[in-house]
Amino acid sequence: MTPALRKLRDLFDDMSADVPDNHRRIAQLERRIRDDNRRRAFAVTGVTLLTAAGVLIPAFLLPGSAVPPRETTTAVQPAAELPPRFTSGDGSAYRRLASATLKAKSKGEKKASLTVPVSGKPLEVAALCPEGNPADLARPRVIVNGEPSSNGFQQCLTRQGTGMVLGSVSAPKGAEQVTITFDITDGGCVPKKDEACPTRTFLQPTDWPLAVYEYTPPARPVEPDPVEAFPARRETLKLAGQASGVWPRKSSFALTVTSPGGYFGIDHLCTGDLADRLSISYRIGDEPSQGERVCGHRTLDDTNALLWSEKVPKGTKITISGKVRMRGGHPNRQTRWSVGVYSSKIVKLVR
Amino acid sequence: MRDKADFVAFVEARSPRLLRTAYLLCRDWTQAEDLLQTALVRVWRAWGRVGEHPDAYVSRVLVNTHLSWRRRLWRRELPTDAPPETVVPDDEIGMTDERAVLWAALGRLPPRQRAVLVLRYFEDLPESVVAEILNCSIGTVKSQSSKALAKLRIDPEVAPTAVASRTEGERR
Repeated sequence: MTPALRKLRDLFDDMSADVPDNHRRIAQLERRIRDDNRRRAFAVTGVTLLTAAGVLIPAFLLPGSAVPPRETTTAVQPAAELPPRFTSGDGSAYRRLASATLKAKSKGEKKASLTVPVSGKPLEVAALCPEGNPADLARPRVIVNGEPSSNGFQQCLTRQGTGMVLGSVSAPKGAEQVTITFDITDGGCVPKKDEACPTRTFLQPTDWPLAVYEYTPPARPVEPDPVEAFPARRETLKLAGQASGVWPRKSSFALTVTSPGGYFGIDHLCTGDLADRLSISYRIGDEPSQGERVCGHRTLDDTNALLWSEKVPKGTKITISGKVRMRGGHPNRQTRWSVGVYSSKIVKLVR
Repeated sequence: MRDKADFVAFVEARSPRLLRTAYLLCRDWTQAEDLLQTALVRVWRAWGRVGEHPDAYVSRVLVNTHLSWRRRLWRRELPTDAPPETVVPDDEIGMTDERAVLWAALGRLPPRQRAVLVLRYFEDLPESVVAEILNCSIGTVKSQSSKALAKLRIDPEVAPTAVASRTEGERR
């Protein structure tokens, strides 16, 4: 082992050596497990009772009903089943074209295909996120007429509980019908060039209710709700600058900030029904792009971890820019985005 | 079939080590205890399906729970205006200062890269197991590890001391 790696290993050993004793851990765990069981039982009972009482389903099934825009998305609405029709928060009227259940657990199926007509309206695929830890489950990847789609129901990974998630798919130009295949072979992995899919023996097969929808977007652009303001201070971070806009009217920004001698952290918030399909790619000064970060979180209590810059010398001006991209979507389904840049001088040393 | 007694025995035997791993991931003992217990509740749900060697599974749940917290919540080390700790007077070779800046630099790594380093160099897990835990390829583990180490070495605060010890053999 090299000296640098030995130092790292020693540091890990030393910094974690003072393990606090917790004699009550087993008792605390038992209480958490009891609470967890109660919560899960309540959630199942609640959905069943609401469905039985006709409370939940009609809210989704009213075709074309004028539901006022609100700060929820189709991706996070609870659903007991994939409904034949529903209206999203921004007034888009969804109609189910076909549905199937990929019975990976009960019948060992690996693929399910649906062929649907193409009317020219936007197409979307939907799934009900199954029970259990989504990171443990093989998710289906989506293939459109033999071509891999970027959609893989990733939203199931970044949310609590179960429910319906939706994603855009595009039909080839001029196609009158399209065949959409849901495939969980290799755990839904889409292999990158020259790189095989990882072995994922731990992924559990499960049954996936799936569907293909088309939707009629709202006739006029729907104004998304305001974004919660970034606080001027967060702990010891100071708000150094902010930018905002509404997709598709504005899809980029550039902010120039002056370093107090430390690091910059970037956060973002979005509102609108398609907020969790909007992503922002950032560029900090001369650094290459940091990749796209999805903007699906809506409150400051539920935010992405900050994207941090490298250390910037005191007094240096640095430009932070971003490009906003929407996966699928429709111009009338607008999404408001807001970016806050925070500065911190020195990172606290824990020890 | 694994039962509750097995689970309790596992928790009692492995918790101290798992708590250390949790601490290295989130760098706060209170959060580490919370992270450990949250992960163990999830493990308990699947305990009947976990094989005879649950360690890799538990590590995976622990790391994934941490990463999902990082995606969702404002849980991270707190920057401060306070100056960093200074070298203690009897620290003739500046070791404390070097370790302090290395620890701080580790805190600035993206959570996934830090997780790779913790699993590789604290848990001593081979790359194949780390890949399985992080649900990625071995190539990705290698590249993440390499990027993380490169960041630690090029961090200007670490450079004067830690980087100086780098040998040609380490450059790959």
